[in-house]
Amino acid sequence: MKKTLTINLANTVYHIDEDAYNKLQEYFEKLKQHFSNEEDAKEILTDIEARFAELFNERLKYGMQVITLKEVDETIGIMGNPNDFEDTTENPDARTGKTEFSNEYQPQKKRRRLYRDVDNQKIAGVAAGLAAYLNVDVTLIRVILILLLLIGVGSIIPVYLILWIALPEARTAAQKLEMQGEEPTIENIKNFVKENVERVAEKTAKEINAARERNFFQKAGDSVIEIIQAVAKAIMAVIGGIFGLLGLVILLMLLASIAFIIPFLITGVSSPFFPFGSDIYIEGYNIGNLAMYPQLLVSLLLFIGIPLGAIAYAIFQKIFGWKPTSKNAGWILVIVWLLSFTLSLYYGIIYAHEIFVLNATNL
Amino acid sequence: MNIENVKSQMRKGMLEYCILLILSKGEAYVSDIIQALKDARLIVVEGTLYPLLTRLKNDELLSYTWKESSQGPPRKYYNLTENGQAFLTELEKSWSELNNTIQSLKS
Repeated sequence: MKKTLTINLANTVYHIDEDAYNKLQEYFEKLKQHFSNEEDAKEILTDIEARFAELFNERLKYGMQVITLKEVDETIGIMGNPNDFEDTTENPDARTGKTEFSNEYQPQKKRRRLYRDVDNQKIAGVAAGLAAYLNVDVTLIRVILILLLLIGVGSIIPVYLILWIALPEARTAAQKLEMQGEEPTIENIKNFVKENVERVAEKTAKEINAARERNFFQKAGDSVIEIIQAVAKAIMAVIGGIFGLLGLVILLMLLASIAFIIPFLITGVSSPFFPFGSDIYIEGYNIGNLAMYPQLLVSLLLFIGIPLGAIAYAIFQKIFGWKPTSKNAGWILVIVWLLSFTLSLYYGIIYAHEIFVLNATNL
Repeated sequence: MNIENVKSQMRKGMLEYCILLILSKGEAYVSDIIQALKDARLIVVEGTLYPLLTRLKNDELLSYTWKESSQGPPRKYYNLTENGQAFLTELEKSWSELNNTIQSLKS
């Protein structure tokens, strides 16, 4: 059983299903926007409404009493979608393709997303992506970055590397559109692809010509850029390696603690692999024997190890193209990490209290 | 230069001419016009015609009369005005000239 509404088109009453009504309403809204620049928008809309009434009448002949989604779809098909209307304006300058889109598809503000623009990249597309987001020229961003670096803001480099890891590439057409602030609708994607095919063809033609004509300095410049790219990748690999090593070490300690705690608890003897087997003294202050508190140990190791491992993995992914982990695995790790955080706090407080007592009674 | 753009520019100029030609043979309403275009192998969605017809009417090339219809609300039947007829004659001349240019370039 469906809900129907009563509408009137050109002074005739119709019963129409609720979902059909919504679609029809949306369509008329689109029409209104499409014709908002026309002088006689009202007359045009009235004419179209009358035609809808006629088309509905045709379809209601066979004893049906209600307009359903099917009739609405058919009728819209006959009338056409506003962007299928051919442009019959006298003044071709008054309405270019772009403004039509703005009228229809962007009644709200454009929403930009920050991506790495890999198509326009020099090293990793970070500057290009920023430029697209801020709607400024790429070269400007690059110049600013280099100037900052030369002045001595050395932190530019790690910031760049972090952005390299953090920002995703704009790979699909929809993402590239979002990067520029255009709505990723089908129409836009269609035009974007068309434009891009032309642009790529132009670019390759230009590059082929340019390759013949590049003078010494330009070739030197190209080599410098390639070197910078290689160096950047090398730095990333080193950092990744460091994180990876740390992560490995923690992982080993974790395994060791699980493997050796049990015999230790039984025999009370610490092994060379397990540095926490006996009390540790720092400047006469006994900070105790972590092995006695396996829960704390395990939680701490997980707490430190998971982020290190994740960072290392992300870095190696970017450089060597490792496959990304499944989302589920990611979520599980996050939950485990949060648990380890809580447990570390909990056991840590207990442990600290005991140490305090231990030292107080020893004095 | 995009082939789709060029094609659509060509059609843009033609559509008015086509409508005037159809109406020179007698009065018609929107659905008739669409059918005639279809028969002549020019496919256009109805929505394209409404703004165009209204504009032509405002330019006094066309006028319309209301006729009752058994199929629903009254229909606008468009016909050519005298101005419209004169305009059409001009367009015919222009079209012949264009055609001659193309033919001579082709040969």
